[in-house]
Amino acid sequence: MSESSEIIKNYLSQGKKVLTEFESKELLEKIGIPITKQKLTSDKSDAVRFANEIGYPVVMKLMADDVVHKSDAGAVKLNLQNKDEIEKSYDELMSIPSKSEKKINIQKMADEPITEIIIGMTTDPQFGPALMFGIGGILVELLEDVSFRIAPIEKFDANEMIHEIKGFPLLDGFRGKPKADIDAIIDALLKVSNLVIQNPEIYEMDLNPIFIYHSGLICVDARIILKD
Amino acid sequence: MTKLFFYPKTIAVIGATADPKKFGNAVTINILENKDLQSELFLISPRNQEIHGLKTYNSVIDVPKDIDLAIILVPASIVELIVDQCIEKKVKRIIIVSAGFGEIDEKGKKIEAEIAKKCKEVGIRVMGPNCVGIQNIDIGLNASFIQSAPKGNIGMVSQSGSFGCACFYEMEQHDLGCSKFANIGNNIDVSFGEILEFFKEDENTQIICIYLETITDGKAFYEIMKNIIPLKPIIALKGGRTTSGMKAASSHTGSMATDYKMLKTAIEQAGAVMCENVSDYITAIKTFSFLPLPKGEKIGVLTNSGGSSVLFSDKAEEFGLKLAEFSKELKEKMAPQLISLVKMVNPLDMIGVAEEEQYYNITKAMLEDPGIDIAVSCLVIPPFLEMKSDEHYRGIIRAWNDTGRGKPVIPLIMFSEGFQNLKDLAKKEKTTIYFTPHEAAYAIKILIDRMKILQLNK
Repeated sequence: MSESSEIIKNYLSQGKKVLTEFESKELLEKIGIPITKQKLTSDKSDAVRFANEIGYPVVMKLMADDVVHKSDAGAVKLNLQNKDEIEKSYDELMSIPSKSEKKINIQKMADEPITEIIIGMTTDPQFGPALMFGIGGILVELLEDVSFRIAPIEKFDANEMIHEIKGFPLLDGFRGKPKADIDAIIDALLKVSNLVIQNPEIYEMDLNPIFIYHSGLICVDARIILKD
Repeated sequence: MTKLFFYPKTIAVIGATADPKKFGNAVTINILENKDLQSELFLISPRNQEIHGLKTYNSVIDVPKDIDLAIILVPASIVELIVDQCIEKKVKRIIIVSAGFGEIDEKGKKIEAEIAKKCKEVGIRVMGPNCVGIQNIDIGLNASFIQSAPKGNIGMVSQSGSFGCACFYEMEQHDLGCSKFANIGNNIDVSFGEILEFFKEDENTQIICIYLETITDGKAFYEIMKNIIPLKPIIALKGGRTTSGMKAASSHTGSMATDYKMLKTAIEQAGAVMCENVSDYITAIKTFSFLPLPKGEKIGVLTNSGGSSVLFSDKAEEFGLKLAEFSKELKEKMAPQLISLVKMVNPLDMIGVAEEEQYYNITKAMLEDPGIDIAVSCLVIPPFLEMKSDEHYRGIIRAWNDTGRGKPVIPLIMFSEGFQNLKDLAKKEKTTIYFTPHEAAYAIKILIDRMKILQLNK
């Protein structure tokens, strides 16, 4: 059994359906998709230590099962530059009302990308696991500029998925910006395809946003949902 | 085997009647219509001694021969009873035309499940209920209550019988036709996929057309399409795009994956053509029926009307098509044929004075040019200079014939539906006409898409 399968079996045996951002990204890292360096803690000085280790600026997010829409709840603190800001943010985040266990996910703040993209996966009742690609961020559901494929996909399909969205010019040197690393997106799509084919227990995934650069990409937030 | 539905040696029509107001009569007449049909017909009717000169039987059990195909047209309330008789008779295939089952209510669904189970146990395959029946035009069998499809090389499977009926009217107009037709109705047993599998093997079927509303065996359907695509083109149209009944999704991805989008994804990923509307559907059928695939993507356009070629170019851009750059050789070859006012650019506007000879020479020059893969001959039929309404089209066809029909020619003759002489000419010459820029550009798009898919499958 592959490492990812073992991790998923383990979550299922705990009765877990929705993986947290931390857990989701941890799994993605295991299959070779770059993620922001992250640490889960409920200790303020530990948060500071980790920030010093990975370097500033950092991002802190409140992890609590009942806080789903993190940005709406003010549970995300961006661009923290030093120890003082971390400590202040830590207190603020921990004071957000929640009935669940609270932890802080502290992570490296990713550099400004060319644009944000989304890679997703869903299980269609007719066609089984399917993959999605699109321009990410908060407008993704409004504009629905996304492409789908039935899994598994090959390199050709991944390449087509990227090229067929209307927003493709954003990845292709739009308004003097550098061109995005298409090969890195293809690679990530293929890795997600492999993951979901190997693990039919996965029901849905959002890798949103992924920051895309001229060279490489980094998954900034993710959500993995397992089958009932 | 699905084949036996289409090639039965013996057929029983259960619920046959002489009453012209009943479907049991329509199916009987349609089967009897072809005097050369080799299949033997038995009519089952407890009320009539004789129908259309044929002896009738009280029950299928009384028929002295084995029955390959039973077509059931009795009221829904007694269908199950009749199915039991078919099972006793060891009928091999059943088509239930009768309606009033799963499409109505839960009780109907239960009866369907019961029939499906019974038949499965004894190995009888069932189509329907709630369908118009099937046709095998190749052997002259119309085992349905709609008119016979025109003869041709299209295998059509439709979830709606009346849509098939409507398509036949339209096909007739364009000199298109079917090899086989099936309307599988509520498909309690034989699935879309199985019909496709049969069309794949069927020699007379060169093009496969699908009309569907719901799909029940998605993954199998997708895999079968993928297997067929290297051999035959598939053209699909989906009715019903409501998002009701969508699964609850807790991810962005799930909330955007509507049933329609996923079906479209599957069909296109398999390499089939997913049409957005009925007119694209007919355009696609026309295109695969009459035109060869191109070897490349470069398009040469000629016209006698600036407007039509500009409108075509707009559509071409919308579909991501590429107009060729004329080579020096091509320009030199074309120039002597044209008046000096003509600018040697693509689209080539030969102006309203262009006659049959110009259409012939320039279309031919483009088709012979290695830098052009597809020729679009645009035309507005000139109402002046004593030109004949069909002369330009004659020139186009001649150029195509003289170049061995090796490359696709798109005759875009704007709004010429009213010219019966052009349609007759198309029929006689086994070619087609595109009436709007959208149609023409769409035709090229699907030809190029299929060319690419076949290259990929090599």
